[in-house]
Parts: sequence; C-alpha cells; structure tokens
Amino acid sequence: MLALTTTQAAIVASESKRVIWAIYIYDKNGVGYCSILATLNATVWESGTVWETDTVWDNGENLGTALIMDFDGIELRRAMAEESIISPSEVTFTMSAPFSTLTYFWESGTAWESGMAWDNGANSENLGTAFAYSNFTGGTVFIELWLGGVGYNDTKITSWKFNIKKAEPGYQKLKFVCEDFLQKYLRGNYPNTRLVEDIFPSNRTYNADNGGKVCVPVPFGTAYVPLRDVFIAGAGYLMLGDPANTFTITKVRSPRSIGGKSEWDSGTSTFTQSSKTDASAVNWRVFQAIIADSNNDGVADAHGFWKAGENFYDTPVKFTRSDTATMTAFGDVIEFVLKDMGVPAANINSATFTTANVTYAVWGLLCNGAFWYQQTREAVLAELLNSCHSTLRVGEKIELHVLAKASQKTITPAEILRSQGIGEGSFTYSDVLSENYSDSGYAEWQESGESQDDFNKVLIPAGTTMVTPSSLILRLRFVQDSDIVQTLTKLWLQRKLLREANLSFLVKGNCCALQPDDVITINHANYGGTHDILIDSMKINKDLSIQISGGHYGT
Amino acid sequence: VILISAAEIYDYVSTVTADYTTTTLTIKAQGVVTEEGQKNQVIHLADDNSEERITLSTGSIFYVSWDWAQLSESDAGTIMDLYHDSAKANGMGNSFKWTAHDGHTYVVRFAMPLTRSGNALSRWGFQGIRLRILGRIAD
Repeated sequence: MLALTTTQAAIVASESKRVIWAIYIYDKNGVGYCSILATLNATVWESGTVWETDTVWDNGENLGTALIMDFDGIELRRAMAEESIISPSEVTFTMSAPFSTLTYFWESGTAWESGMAWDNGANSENLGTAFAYSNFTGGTVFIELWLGGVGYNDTKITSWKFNIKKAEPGYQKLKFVCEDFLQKYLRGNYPNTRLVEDIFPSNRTYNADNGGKVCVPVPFGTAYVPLRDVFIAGAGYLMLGDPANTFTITKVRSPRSIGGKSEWDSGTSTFTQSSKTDASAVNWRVFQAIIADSNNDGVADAHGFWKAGENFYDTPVKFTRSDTATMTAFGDVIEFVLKDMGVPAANINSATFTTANVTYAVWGLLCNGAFWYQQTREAVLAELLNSCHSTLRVGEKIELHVLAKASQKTITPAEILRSQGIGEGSFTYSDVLSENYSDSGYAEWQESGESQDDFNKVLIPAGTTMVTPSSLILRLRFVQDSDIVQTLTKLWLQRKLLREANLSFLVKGNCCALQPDDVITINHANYGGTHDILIDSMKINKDLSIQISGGHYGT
Repeated sequence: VILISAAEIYDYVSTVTADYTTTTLTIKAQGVVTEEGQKNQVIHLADDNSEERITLSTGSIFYVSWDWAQLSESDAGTIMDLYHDSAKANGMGNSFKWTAHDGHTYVVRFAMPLTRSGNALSRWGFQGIRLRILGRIAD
C-alpha cells in the first residue's frame, strides 16, 4: 500500500476530488512532450515554487495542454512470482498526431540558438513541429496522478514510468502501447555472461544437465556450484570470471554423477589461479585444482577433471568473489541482479530494498549460491523473489516489498460501486473450479557446505495435511536453512494450491492507495460475508474508479 | 453588450484566438436560443448510496443552439460559405469568431452537420445550429 502523507490521505478520502493525470512522453531521442488532462489550479508556476507540503513544481516543467485522446487509465498487476512470471503493468492511449497544438517542454538551462528570444519565466512554447512516429517506440512515458479536494490544492499522489512498446500511426493519431519499464530488462537470459566454451572454444564436449548453458558464474555469498573445465593452450582450466575481482576457492569435489563423494579443500590441496586471454584479448580468471597424481608417486601434481567417454563433467567448486562475497541479503542480491540486467541505479528505490533486508535479517534468511547456467531473466527474478517471499512494485522506480498477509483496507458497501441508480453493484465472486485437490508440494534445497547442483527434496504441506501431494517443486538453491525453506515453500504452496475464488469489483477512488499484492478484507452480507482477498490487478480508470481483481484463499 | 443575465457564458470562458479571424459571424440567431453548459465530472454511486464526486476538469463546457428559420439569400450564402470553405470554418475543423445573442464575441466552432432547407419563396433556413464555445474575445 502506498504510504501517504496526512494531506494526501485526506484528499484521497475526500468525497469530492479533482483528478488530474499528467502525462510526459519522451521519445527515444529524449525529446519531451507533455499533456495535462486538466488544467491545474494555476497555469504556470515559477521555477522552484513550493506549493504546500509535498508539492514542488519542478524547474522546467510545463503545463501545456496536448492531445491525449482516449487515455482511460492504467492497469497495474502483481508480479506473480509463484507462477515464475513478472506480470507487466500496462497503459494504452491515443495521441492526436496533428502536432500544431502539441507543446515541447524543455529542461532548464537548454541552450538556444543564437538570436532566439525566450521569454523570461516561460519554459514552453508551442512550436508546431512535425514529428516522426518511429521515434516514439522505445521512448518513455511518465504518468502522474494528482488529486485536489475541497480545501486542498492539487497534490501529486503517485507516479509510474512506462516504456513505449509500440507507437502506431493511423488517421492523424498515434496509438501508444506501453508497459512498465522493468519489462524491457526482463527480455533475454541471465547471467549476461557468455557460455564458457564460447570464450575458449575447443573440441571438448560436456556431460551435464545444463550442458549447453553453463556460463561464467555470478556468485553471491559463498557459492558451491559446478564450473566448466575449458581447454586452453593444451591444458584444462576451471572458469572463475572477471580478473578484476579476487576469487577465494575453498573446496572442490567430484561430480555427483561420478562414484562416491570425494572432496578437496584449500587446506590440503592447491588451487592454482591464473589469468588467461581469449581470442578477443579479454582476460579471464581461471584455476587448476591440483588434485591428480599424474606419476603415481602419491603426491597430487596435476589438474584433476572427470570424464565419461568423450564428455567432460563440470566440477563443483566452493568459492567467493570479492565484490559479492559478503552480499548475502536478498535485497542486495536482487538489486545487484536488476542493475546487472541493465536497470539504471536511479530507477531503483534502494531504501525499500534496505528495509526488506531488515526483515530478512530478523528471519535469519541468507543468500548463498550462484547463477551458473543461463535461464530466462523472468525466471531468475521470480526465483529470487520466491526465495525471500517478496515482490517487486514498479512505479516511477522499482521497489522491493516483503509480502504480508495483514489486511490493508476493509472494503464495504461504501466503497463498492454500482453503475445504475437501483440494482446490484459491481461485485462478482466466482469459485475456482479446480480439479487439483493436492494439499502439498516439494521444496528442493541444499545444506550449507554441500554443492548446489543437486538438492534435498522434502514434502511440505500448503495447510496442515500432506495426504495428496502434488508434483509442484519450489527450488530454493540459495537458501540453506531448513526451517526457512519449509516456511517459504509453505507460503508459496498456499498461493499455488489454496485459491478458492476469483473476485472482482469496482471501487471508489478512495482506494487508490492500494497496490497489487496487497491483502484487503471484504465485509458485507451482499458480498458473501467476510473474506480476505489478495489483489492480482488494479485498473485505475481515468475517472479514478478502480477495478480490482483478486483471489480468495483457503487455509 | 446586452446584459441578459447577471452571469453570462462570457464570465466563465477564457480569452483565446480563433483559427479563422478574417470575419466575424454576426448574423443574429432566431427564435429560441438554448445555452447548454456542463462540466467534465463523474459521480460514482456506491452500494450504500454514498457518492464520490470526481471532477476531471474545472473548466465549463458550453454549447449554444438555435434554428435559423428564414434567412436572406445573402445571409444563407454567408453561412453556407463559412461552413464549407476549408479556409474558413472548414466544417467543424476551424474555430471562428461569433457575435452572440448577449452581445459578446466568442470563439466557437460548428458542432453539427449543416442542414439547409427552403420554402416556396426561396427563402433558406438552417435547422439545428449548434456551436461549441471555445473561448471569448475580450471586450
């Protein structure tokens, strides 16, 4: 739920509100266009004017009216990490294309051509400039929701940043299709690093479950994962990564597929690190595990590796990387991964990640492991979120929030709207017709000190019974605490197995502080009594009515 | 200016510039003149009968409508030309100046298809004239 100031909360609760949507469109070249879907109380603010507490009109912003034609609100969705997806929030609108009335707005300090007169205090001008619609795809849309009320000036309540997926021309209009800006960073695989055998190609073939996808590892805390053995100038080496970091290797063990477990640690064995240069003149840190006795004299003197037929096995290695060795809080890990996927630091609300870390510390939840084979980015992020029972919220910045079952608001007949003067309102309740009567599923995890390429599997109840297990598996490869694993899996299974009904209703704008993934309580005989609802999606309409869809879960 | 009411449309619209400024439509309206004013607002009605009133814009939206029952050949031609000349009102496309029944000059646009009918005396009239008030000319 949005944290509102006293003023914001009073306006939101007011029965009579002014609603203003401010839409700022930047094309991919950074040229800005602005539309305010109403006129704010005053037309032009002086630069830096502070308007009531919390409302500051930024230097350089412009209040020109432009031609957004059929903006009908924005659709916000919860991430749904339990389904291994990060659902997009979306907005679609049409802008009139005859740009004679569109207004450019300029950042403060823009240098103008010699001789161009720019009025004192003016920061916008109707330039009537033609445009190229193809410039908009890949651009950015900021949408701000401003509310005013009786006795209250217009106040910004919240804002969102979207990426323009499509800008389609037709009949002097442009149809914009936008999605939250995180989505574009979720396309592709993670880690971003190349496959190891692509860096040092050879005729070696590999025998591993993830044979075709083993990449340069990205470790957090202490990882114990398989590393690929590559052939470089006549010898085998295990790939560590970027030599700008320092790697500390503490253990090597035999692959799980080969015989019994044999393990070598740094106290009794030598792990010789070196830097090797690939064909692109890029340096890489590699090492050899001196664990083989090449001359049968009882002393290890050669790099050891495992092979079956022509196929090499990846060798599990316990190691740390200097930049992530102490990064064991999931908030820090998720922030690192987001940045590594390309999200600018300025678009991450780090304070929310820090706050979430406090909760994880109270739980005793630590992250140790590595991404060592490529997966879809969406799956990577969903795995991390499931590992810390948290969700991402994408507004103007990305926020991390721990999921909580505490109800954020009670919905009564005073909130639920009806479309006609007399008759039933908008509330609907539909049972989930499930043919899956499972009551439990599995957690996969590994103990501390064991390699993280194979896992313990344990049955966990969603509620209290384990009579009809499902085949669902939550892999928690970064978590080593069995108690926490059970709790995380139970919470995950509840979302997967215990949904009893889908609910939908239209509510007043006084519910606009709610957010997807919030839990709310609905309470009235007209709505089937009292039940808690997990909000799946919220469509905030232009008129501030809000279509809420969610689910009710059993125990 | 003929003050026909203590408050007029003129008091609630701002000064703007018309797209077509060469001439002003001054042909007087005939018969009953209807002023229609509203605001862009939505009233949400809840299941307990309580309301939430949403104002999407504080500005007023005005339309003025009347019928020209009979016009001289000259006036009928003026209106026909104003509506259909792409350099003038261009149908509903361009705004123009109109001297209203209250004596003020407003910037308006046509908000209807132009329908003309005549009688046996070859006098032409226009039915269903409807103008959207976009602003005013200061006087």
